[in-house]
Amino acid sequence: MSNSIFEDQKEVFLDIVDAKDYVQLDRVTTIYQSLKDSVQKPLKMILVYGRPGTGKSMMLSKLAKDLSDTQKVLIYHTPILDEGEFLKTLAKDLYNIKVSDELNFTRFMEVAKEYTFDKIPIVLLDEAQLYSSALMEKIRLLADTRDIKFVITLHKTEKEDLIAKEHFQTRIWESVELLNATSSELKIYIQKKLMMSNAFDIANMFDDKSAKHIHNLTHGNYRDTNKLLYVLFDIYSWYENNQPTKINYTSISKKIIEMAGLQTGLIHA
Amino acid sequence: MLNVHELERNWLRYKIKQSLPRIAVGLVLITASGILYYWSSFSDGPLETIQKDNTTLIVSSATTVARAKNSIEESTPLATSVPKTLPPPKAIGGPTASSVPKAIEVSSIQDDNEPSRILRPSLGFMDTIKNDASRTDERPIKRSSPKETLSPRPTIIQQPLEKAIETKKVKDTPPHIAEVPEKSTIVSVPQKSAITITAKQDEADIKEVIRRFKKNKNPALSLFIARQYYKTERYQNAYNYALITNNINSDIEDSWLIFARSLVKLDQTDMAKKALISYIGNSDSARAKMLLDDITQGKFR
Repeated sequence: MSNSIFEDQKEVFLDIVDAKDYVQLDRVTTIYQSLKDSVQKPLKMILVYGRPGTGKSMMLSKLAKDLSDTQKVLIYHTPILDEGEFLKTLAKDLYNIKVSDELNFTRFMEVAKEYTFDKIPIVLLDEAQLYSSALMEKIRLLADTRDIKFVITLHKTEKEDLIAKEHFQTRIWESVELLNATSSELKIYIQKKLMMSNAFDIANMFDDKSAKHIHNLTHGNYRDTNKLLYVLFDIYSWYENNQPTKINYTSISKKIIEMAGLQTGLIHA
Repeated sequence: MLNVHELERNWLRYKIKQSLPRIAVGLVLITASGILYYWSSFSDGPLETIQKDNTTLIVSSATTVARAKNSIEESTPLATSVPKTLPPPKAIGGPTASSVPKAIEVSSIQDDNEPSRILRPSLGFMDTIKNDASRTDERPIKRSSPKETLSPRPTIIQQPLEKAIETKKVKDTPPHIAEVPEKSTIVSVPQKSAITITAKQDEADIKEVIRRFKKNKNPALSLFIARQYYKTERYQNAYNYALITNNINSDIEDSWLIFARSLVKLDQTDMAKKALISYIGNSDSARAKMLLDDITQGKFR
């Protein structure tokens, strides 16, 4: 175990998508609840979109975890770009069928008709902007059968907006937008993450001002915030081990936030 | 690998780079205000300008008069050739302003070498000089004033910047997570919604919190430890940490309650009552009163 009280805290901000690390914030909770409600509606496809680092993958993981008790849920964080491979994986995970030969779309549809579930199985596809137009079209057709429900996430960039328009505008029945965190949301996010690992004292060090500094650098991007805080605690840990007198335990130093910003490339010196 | 020394140097460079525009703006403002001040002091004193000119005029006239006087004295033939139009030489060195134009006329005669010309003194010019002379007496000439008033300006501009930096350093915000609630959930105070966070509370986690507490003596941590010990029925430890918490901050209600409950569990009911009575006397806590009642009535044992 390290001598520094900051050393262990940096692990809290490792950028890992794990539903148990999901931090509930007011706005995000509302969005999540509406997404959960949408899943229960007889919708074919649900779109979750937002800029990078807004917590789409994390929300998808949380949804998978919460729904897995009541129905069959499959989550694919990494896109399976090949159509045949995609259908084979789906057949294996959904119906437990191992297909050694080529599995085309028509064959898959026939198989799908043979299986019935109490509740329609849900397939969660992360990073859907990486799927080809042809494959997206097949996914749409699968959703139309109402045998499988799809929840997909998309990055919201100009280019990807176009994809969303082309493929999903008329087909998506419900869409949920995730936004970057505000300064106050970021503060609660950081504090809650620290409190989850019993670091109340360090959580107390984050006040409105330090949250604002962090927000100025990360623009409310959770991924960047995690990255920044990992380095921030690394620097704090170094100071605690080498120059402990330089640490103010009552609040987070702006200098160290900026140093972390420089180290992570969020500040271009 | 993190190289903090290098990072500190980069940070210093970054801060210098960041503050350059501010310094430039500050300098521009100081210069601009200086120019403005000089301009305003220059433009709102037309009289001063005239006075300034008058001074030089008077000085130059005086030298001209002196020169004229000398030249008149030297060239007697010229003076004799124009006896009727020229005033006597004695009048030139006189104290009155009226003598000045005459002297100028004399000098011009000498320059032109035209003895036959009839000289006529310009009375209008004489009047102007008279007026100017009277104005010069009324108001003193200020020449050093712009320099004197410019010097304090930079400090006026720099002051707010320094103040802002100071307040940033001094300002200490109150802690936002004031309470660690019971029963293994931690509720963040700023959140109004009833969102709960389940914290890890196994033995290793408590040890980790104890380690951190030993480092920074934060009462939030000791309260958490006391609560965990109480939950796991290690009342002696719970008592100890509640006592430590009370010593650090005697206003934490939860700590007093755990302290009293632990004492009851350790068969120290009288001491628990005393502690609660003492705390109620200071805080008038409703929860403490309820616990005291429960202990007194034997409901809590």
